[in-house]
Amino acid sequence: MKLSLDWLREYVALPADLDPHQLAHDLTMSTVEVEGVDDLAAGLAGVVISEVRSCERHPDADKLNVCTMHDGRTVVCGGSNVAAGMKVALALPGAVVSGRDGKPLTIAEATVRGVASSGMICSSGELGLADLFPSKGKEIMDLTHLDAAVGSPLAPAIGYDDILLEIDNKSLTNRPDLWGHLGMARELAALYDVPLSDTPAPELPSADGGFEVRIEDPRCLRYTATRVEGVDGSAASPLWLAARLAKVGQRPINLLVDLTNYVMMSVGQPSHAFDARDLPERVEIRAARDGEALTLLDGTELALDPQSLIIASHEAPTALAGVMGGDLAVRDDTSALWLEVASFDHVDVRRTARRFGLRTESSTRFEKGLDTPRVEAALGLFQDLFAKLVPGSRIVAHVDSHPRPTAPVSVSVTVPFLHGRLGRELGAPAMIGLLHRLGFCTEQDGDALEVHVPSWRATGDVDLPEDIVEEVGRLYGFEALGFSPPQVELVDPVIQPVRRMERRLREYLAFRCGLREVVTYPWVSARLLEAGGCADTPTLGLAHPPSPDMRLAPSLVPQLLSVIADNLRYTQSFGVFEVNRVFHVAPQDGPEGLPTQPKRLSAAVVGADAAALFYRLKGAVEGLSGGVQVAEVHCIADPSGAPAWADPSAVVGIACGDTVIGHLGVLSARAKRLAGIKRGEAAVLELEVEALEPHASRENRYAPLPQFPQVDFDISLVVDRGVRFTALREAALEASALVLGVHFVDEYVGAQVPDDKKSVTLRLRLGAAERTLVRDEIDQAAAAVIEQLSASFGGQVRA
Amino acid sequence: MIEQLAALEAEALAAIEAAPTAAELQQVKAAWLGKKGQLTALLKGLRDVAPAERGAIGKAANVAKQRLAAAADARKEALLDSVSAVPAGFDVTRPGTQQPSGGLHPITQLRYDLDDAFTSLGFEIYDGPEISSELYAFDSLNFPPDHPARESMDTYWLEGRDTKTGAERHCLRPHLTGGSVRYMQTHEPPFRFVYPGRVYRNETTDASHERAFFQYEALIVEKKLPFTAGRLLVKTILQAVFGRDVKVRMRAGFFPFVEPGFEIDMQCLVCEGEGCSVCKHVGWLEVMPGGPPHPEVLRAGGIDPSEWEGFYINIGLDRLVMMRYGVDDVRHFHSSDLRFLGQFQ
Ligand SMILES: [Zn+2]
Repeated sequence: MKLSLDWLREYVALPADLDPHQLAHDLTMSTVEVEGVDDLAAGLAGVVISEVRSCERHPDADKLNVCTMHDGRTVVCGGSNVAAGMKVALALPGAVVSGRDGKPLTIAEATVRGVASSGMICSSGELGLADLFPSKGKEIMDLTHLDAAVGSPLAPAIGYDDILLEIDNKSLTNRPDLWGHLGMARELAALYDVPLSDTPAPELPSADGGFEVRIEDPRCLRYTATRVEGVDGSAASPLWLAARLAKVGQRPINLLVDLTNYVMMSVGQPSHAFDARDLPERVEIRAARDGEALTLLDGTELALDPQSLIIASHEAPTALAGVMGGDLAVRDDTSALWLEVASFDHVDVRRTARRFGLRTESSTRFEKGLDTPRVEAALGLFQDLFAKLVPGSRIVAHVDSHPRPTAPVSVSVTVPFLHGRLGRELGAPAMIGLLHRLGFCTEQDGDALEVHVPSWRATGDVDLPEDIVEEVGRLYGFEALGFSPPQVELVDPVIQPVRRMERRLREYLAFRCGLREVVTYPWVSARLLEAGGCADTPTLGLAHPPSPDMRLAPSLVPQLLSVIADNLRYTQSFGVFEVNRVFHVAPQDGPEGLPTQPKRLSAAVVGADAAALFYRLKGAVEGLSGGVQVAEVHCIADPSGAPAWADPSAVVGIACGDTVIGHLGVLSARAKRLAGIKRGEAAVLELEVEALEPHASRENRYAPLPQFPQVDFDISLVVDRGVRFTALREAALEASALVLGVHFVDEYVGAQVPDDKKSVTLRLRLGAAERTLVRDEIDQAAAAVIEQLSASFGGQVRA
Repeated sequence: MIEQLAALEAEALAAIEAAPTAAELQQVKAAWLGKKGQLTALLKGLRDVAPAERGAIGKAANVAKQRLAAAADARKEALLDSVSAVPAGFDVTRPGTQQPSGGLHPITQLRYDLDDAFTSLGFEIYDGPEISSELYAFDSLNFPPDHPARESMDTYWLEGRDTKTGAERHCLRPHLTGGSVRYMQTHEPPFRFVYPGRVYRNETTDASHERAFFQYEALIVEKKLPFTAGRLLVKTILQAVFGRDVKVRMRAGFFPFVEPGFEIDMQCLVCEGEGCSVCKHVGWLEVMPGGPPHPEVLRAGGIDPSEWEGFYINIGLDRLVMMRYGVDDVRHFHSSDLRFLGQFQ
């Protein structure tokens, strides 16, 4: 919303030297957010009122004229209506106007087809004044009838020596009283503790002119109809009034319509002017009937239904209550009006405006909740304006139906309550003084305060003790209240093993395993769901998903596949992980029956060598328990229920105790194809984070150092490819009690061994708890291992 | 002969010192001290010397021999000590081996910084469901029944629940505050907790709007909690996170779930309040709404508003991270683009 400082000053005696930026800051801190301060005169700097003394056709251009201006300068002008004797707006060199493309254009001394030109005679569009001075085609602004001295600046002559404040509408949603200049002036009067001049009280005739207002629906709170005769539907507004409307973004139309807009922009109360001929006997405010329609000014027809509250005359809808009038408007030959000033239920106006997609200045105000006494303020201003601007006009009849006046609101608070909430003892007199400045009345009884809320704040805005805290605090200045240390009760130390585990898990994967954390959307396409092995998993959907085939992902793998595919466009080898929730159809226990939403970890390492990637990721899983401080986690071969995205020959289960909590595997060729992964290999894992069991504290135990030396020795054996390390290890451990450990060193497949074989190198650790081994014992143990392995696996063994 | 011996010793010493490698030293040693060495040859000439002189010369020759042997040993040790493990021409200017380049998401980084600041003040960390219900997302938070945010244009409602209301109408949580009500319902005051998480809004995305974004909520409920204490809390936290003095201002703002409501601004750290492109030349950045929870919200959480007071803030993490690093497009956070994420160590 835009506010004119000049207009505000009509109602509030602001200090003369108040800097508009200071005002914007003060309003922002205590009331609403001021988004911009626009100095209109600065925008018109260098534009003066001039007169065309002579006007000759340009020697070299048919459509250009060479004009001599009031100060003797020559200006080349392409305006179609330029003529000698015309008063015009002249932009001097250095002035900035709006160019053809709307971008700023700085006027400079120029030569136009051989003729020197020192300035530009402007069209209204070039000065941003098209609303105020409508023009056709290439016409320039004709100011001949403007009562202003030639050579003087343009801005003051048209009421543009003004400052516009741009208010963020969102910050105004809870303040219906501020949707007009008078309301904001009232707020400023309180802020600066200066006087406010309210609108005059109306003095209306008691005659009803035989007119009937029939309110048949509780959604109409008040309806007044005022008959004004002796008006002229073709009259235009005086410049000052048109300028005020244009400045705040309201296009001037004709005097009668402009008056309704002016009153709305002043007191925030919408109204509607009907030609009296269109409302001959009465109006009905009622729910529309099925099949009824309302034709709008632009010709569109709204199909109404009983949800719509309408104003009807002669059984026909003439307006959508509080939102928009129909096509029966004020016309050039209008001489008498029925002026509607009414109030409607704010919820209903909001719904209607939304349903029909018609957000108007009127509905925007009504939907905030306007108080019904505001109708008087509007009528008082109307009466004043008709008297001043429409000579010969007479208010001859007035009907006021007021079934649901705004209820008085009062709030009980105590002085200690206010002190306690504010954090500072301002004292009762100071706080009462602040409330009075804002229009509240108070009754004090000891520490108790009964605060009566003014009607313009009583439509839902202020009704709680906390609201009174806010009013006092913001007018005193929140910043001025200072700081105080919170008085908190001592509580037990907060120990949250699960939270700590989650953080350690992320840090382990990032900093120990070298993976990069990603965050993906919870919704995913059908194609990725299939690639991620979720084709047959029931999924949840959104009523309005970001794109039609998106479902909520029951696994993090589908998104992970797209992360892999996307990043492969830039890089060939990388590792990523994500910790996030997935969504399952099965409901949880509890009254809401919310879907189950387990937290998962997904990770992938991407590169050229699938086997190496698999073992790298497997290493990350095997290091989890130590790195994250959780109960041991291990991998199990030949898992049941292996996911569809995994290559069946390279997949393991991830288990915590006997419970399988996830899977790790090489990404299958099919998954890669479906996910659009055209090159590279990936190992992928997914596991249930909530299945990891965090230790309450660190669980490491000290093991005494071996008292006697232990010896390592390596053996290599050539065995069938299918022989597993776990089998070799078991056999080696069984071969001799002196074998304390069997470690994997290396595996070789290639030219040095037969096609169906592999060479495996193991490192055996030998030792005894109670003595140092002698050479013979070591040799015997090694021989036993070799013999056992050869016997079990038929391999050639060499130590 | 004594003179001859001295000359020979000096020559041998020079050769030992000059030997460039252990192998050459060995040759030098053989040439002087070996069986066919020059010193040995000289000593063989003793036979021709007068017996009276023989003793003295023999002694001198032995001393010289020992001295040369010691010099050779010393030279050998020096040569071995200076052997290099790297080949000749080793290039110290080559880049070092890269460490695995993992890292946390920039949002997670800021979140953990906030966690550290809050947990040091005794706050608990809470985590709630991402699919919530209208009951918690709106009803409990004093949103009027016709509030525009309930419309599908703002909230991601789950499909097939159009006719349901309240607890049975499910949505991706539009904010975290509903989850805070869950916490209140299951905990006895006084308490203080933070609630980090991702929230969802159905809107058109651009450089400053996302459908999924991150909030960080904090709520403290105590017997007494004046505005001035809440203000100090906010300042303390921001200071802890940014590691420097941060100017904070609180101004009137309207949110249904706080009363009174505040917009909390932080002075722009890029320009120190002078105005720059990051703060859109205002000098201040809106970082969070806050204020005491609305009495209806406390009531929804099962807390008697006449007995307990609270202070609540809800930090928009995306904007704060954008300011921290000068990120110009909020959509990067969900892009999973490693060229972006890789910049945050
Ligand atoms: Zn800045």
